[in-house]
Amino acid sequence: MVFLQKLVTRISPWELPQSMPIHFPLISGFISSVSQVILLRELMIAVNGNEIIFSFFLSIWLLLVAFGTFLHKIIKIKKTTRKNICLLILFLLLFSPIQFLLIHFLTLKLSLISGLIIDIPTLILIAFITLTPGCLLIGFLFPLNCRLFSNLQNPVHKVYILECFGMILGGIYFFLFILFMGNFPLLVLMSFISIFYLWIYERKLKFLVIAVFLLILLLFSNSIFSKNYAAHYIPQSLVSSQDSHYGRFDVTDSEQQQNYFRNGMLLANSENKNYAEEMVNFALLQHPHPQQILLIGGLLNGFLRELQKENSLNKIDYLEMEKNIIEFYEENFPQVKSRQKVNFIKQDPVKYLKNSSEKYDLIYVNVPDPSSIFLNRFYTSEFFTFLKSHLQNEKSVFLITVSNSANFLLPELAELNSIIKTTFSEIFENTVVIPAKKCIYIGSSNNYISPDPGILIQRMEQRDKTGNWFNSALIDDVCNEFRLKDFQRSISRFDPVKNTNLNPKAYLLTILFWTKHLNISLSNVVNFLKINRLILIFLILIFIFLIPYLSKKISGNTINFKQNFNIFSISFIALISELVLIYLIQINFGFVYFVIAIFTITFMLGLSFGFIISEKIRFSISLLFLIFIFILFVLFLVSHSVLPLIMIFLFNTSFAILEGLILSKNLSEIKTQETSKIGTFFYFLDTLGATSGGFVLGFFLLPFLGIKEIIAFLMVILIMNLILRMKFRNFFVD
Amino acid sequence: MKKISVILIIIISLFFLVYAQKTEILKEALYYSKLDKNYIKCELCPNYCLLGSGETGTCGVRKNIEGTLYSLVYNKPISIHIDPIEKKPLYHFLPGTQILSLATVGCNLRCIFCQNWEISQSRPKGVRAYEKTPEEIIEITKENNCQSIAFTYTEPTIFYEYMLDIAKLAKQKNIKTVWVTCGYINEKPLRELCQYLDAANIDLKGFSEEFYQTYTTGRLQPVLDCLKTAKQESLFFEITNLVIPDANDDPEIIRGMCNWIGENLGFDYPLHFSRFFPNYQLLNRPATPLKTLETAKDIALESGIQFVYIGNITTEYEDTFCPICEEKIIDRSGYLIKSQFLENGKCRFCGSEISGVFE
Repeated sequence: MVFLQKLVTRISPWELPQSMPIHFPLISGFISSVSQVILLRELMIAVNGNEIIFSFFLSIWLLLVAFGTFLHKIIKIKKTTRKNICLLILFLLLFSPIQFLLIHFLTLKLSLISGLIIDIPTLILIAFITLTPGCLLIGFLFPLNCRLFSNLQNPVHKVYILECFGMILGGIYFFLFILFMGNFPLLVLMSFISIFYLWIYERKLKFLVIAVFLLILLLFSNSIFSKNYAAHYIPQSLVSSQDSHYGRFDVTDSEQQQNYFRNGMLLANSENKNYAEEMVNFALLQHPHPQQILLIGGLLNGFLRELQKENSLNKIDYLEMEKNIIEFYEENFPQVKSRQKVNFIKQDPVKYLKNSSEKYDLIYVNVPDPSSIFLNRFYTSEFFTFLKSHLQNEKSVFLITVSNSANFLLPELAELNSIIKTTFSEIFENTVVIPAKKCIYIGSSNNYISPDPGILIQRMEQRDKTGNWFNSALIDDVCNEFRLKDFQRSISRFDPVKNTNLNPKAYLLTILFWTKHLNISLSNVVNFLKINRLILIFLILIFIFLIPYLSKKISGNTINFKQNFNIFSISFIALISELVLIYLIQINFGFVYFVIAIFTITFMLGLSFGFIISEKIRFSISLLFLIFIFILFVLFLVSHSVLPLIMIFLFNTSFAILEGLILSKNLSEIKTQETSKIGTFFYFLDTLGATSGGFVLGFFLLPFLGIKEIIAFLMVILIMNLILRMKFRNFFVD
Repeated sequence: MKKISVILIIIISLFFLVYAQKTEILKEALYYSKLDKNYIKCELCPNYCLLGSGETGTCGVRKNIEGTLYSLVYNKPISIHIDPIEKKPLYHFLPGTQILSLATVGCNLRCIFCQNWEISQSRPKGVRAYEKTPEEIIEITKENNCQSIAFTYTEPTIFYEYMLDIAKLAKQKNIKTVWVTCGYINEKPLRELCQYLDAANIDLKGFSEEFYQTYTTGRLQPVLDCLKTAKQESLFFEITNLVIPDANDDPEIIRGMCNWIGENLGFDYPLHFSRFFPNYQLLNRPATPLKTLETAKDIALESGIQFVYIGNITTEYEDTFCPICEEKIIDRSGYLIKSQFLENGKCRFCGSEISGVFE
């Protein structure tokens, strides 16, 4: 950080005086990004959240930061001194570990019944209580920093860029250190580094004392965290807990049964033999003599152990991107690896299949339902086509599982199954569905596959596959004519709709199904929006206009509506564009944490670069909007094809630079001398724009619209900006 | 003017037609009393819902329409399947046979762990149900060679009128009927129903008022009363206790439950300890460990209960042993009956009578 500070001072194009406390915005950015990632990750684990809940928490975070900035208008600080800022940063650093520990404590206290899905009001309460102090301080610091820089030209620009650099540092710090330590020690270490850094520049003894205190806390941080976290699982005992880039993997023990959790969500338990026996044997009976198998998911449910009972197998490739799970499994079930030719592959399935030329007799995908965009990519026609190309011959079989319910399919679940069936049927000549514990979709070029109970019982007996649970009575129960007809009746009433990467219909239906667990009336609202998408778009547009309008009123017309709208909407659009690009990376190259980390850092760098060069670039804001529209239009045209990674990075960098340029030029247009006021409203609008972008994309755009429609929608908002900016006299240059 | 009159007449006729159709498909409910100002009190279950005109009970399927209580689900099963009878679970009632199982939407409890929440928490509006009269249900049963009909999945008490009519008709046609219930029903309707039923599986979900209130929104005492009444009416039944970790698995509470069963019902009613799996809103509670179920089984056997089973998991504790000679008389593997050593309901080894309905 010290090195960076010196570097920034040296290379800065704005002649930063040596005395300028540029470490303040750097630290603010650093703390902001590290604590954001860690606290949100921990919140997700505590409340067992999914992607939607993450969007929700992220929105609360940004909203609170925006409100913190706005507090500057309410709480009047007459004089901004280094001492004031130091004190606030100190509070911020001390709050972070407390906030962290409060997360699990509060979740335990507020959820009356352990293991229960936490309802929405409790979720909001937990998020607000745990995030409020830190977020308000982060937001409040921005205008204060701006004031401290007010002697310089364009102080808000400079503070914004320095904060961006701090954020980039935070991102790198988290990415590198998460592999070596858990969330809590990381947070304490962050506090220590920041205090120590402050001490280097401020030379106050108290900082050194606090730094020493934090160092001692760091030594005990693991045991403090363990005690705090283990309470979360009582009466189960926590056996192990490991963090990775993708989240946390916990193992608990209850009465000699091991329970497995990923990010706090129960995945499976060690005593699940019936389930594995049922799901694996229904699959094996669909191929006459399987020798090479690719299994994706199902390790903890005992699928691999069950598969190994099949003598005909020569090779089993097991694919899992979470290396903690494989390592745990190899450690605890060493006999699995020695018993038969098992090959563990620790990679994202899309990435592996893209680079591998292996062919299989049977490919079995058993991943959770498409409850997130990340998971939806395993249920799309693109993925099915891809997998089909890895099948050995026409007898080879592909299987994928989707949730089922024992006796009645809710309309949402029925429609989800109908979508998967339609998507599946388009790829495979022959398809069969077996409505077992989970529905098993089976596809092949061959007509050997069958749900007929008579045929399956015969095969089971011939191949001596009768188990304690999997037997003729079970096959009759699952595949009797009555059940198969009832299943068909339930799913056949929906229009045939395909699930694709760019139009993730299955994702929406899974969300709808999940909302039923929480609240029936909520799912009615979602259902209404699903049918009336135009109303949804209209409401979002009203929202996008309303916030800048209100901001203009509150600011006492300091910033005019055009500027308010520009700042808010460009932050909104840029965040959505970045997330859409990340999604395109995921579907085309697999979820590669390293690439996504670099991608995010590139975006921040691009944003800062846009700010830095804005004074040199003579393009008008209108022209910048026009360029943004053009690039989005190109993305719209090419998004359906597999884009090279470099091209996605180019799009990302262009969007970031354009956002930086547009924000910076808008800032320069604001005609007031009050630095803190500009800082307050600029940061408020920028943060709120990003908040709304994350929220609207996660909750509404992705589930209800396809990727192309989202891009088109963003173009519409940009055109609105352009219309507001229309000044033909100086359209091309300022 | 003439045109307007004609249009008016058509509209009014259509209205009456729709109204007539509406009233035709609704069946007046049993067991309720009329109060002042079109209020009624439903007396079918211990919830005793007090309903104003237009209001629906806790179950979501019994509605007060202008002072008369109607069942909204008569003839409208949402789910019809053929199940192995062991799935109910019933181990002492026609083992190895298939049973036609049906349910309508709705339930009078709100169990947060409900294993059939898709049915129990749905409401008639917006859900596509079958249209099946009791006569048609009997026909389907015969066509599929089922010997019995189960009212199951959700709480059948809430479609009492439909269930009663089917049970009455089944009795005439020599088809047996089974009630799979949480036992949340009042005494009078239960006594009437017992006249036509052949067997039941009654859920004793826990043995503390606290558990019932926290996890089900119901009460324990009415369930205990139901069990006693069923015994008085000589209805054969088996009892199921879904063991949920950290909820109702305290060994002392299980001991209390087993003692109560022995003292009040006797020792020959089969008792099933079923394994809980995360479901509905209790998704993050792990499944019941086998050891907990084994402890519960040991406690029940110590209390003197003769037939104790562990369900929802494959173990050696799914077989039936003769309580006298201790020989295995029914060998099960999941839903499969591998062998049976019973003759006229008696142990083939020692001739002792085994509690249940075997023919």
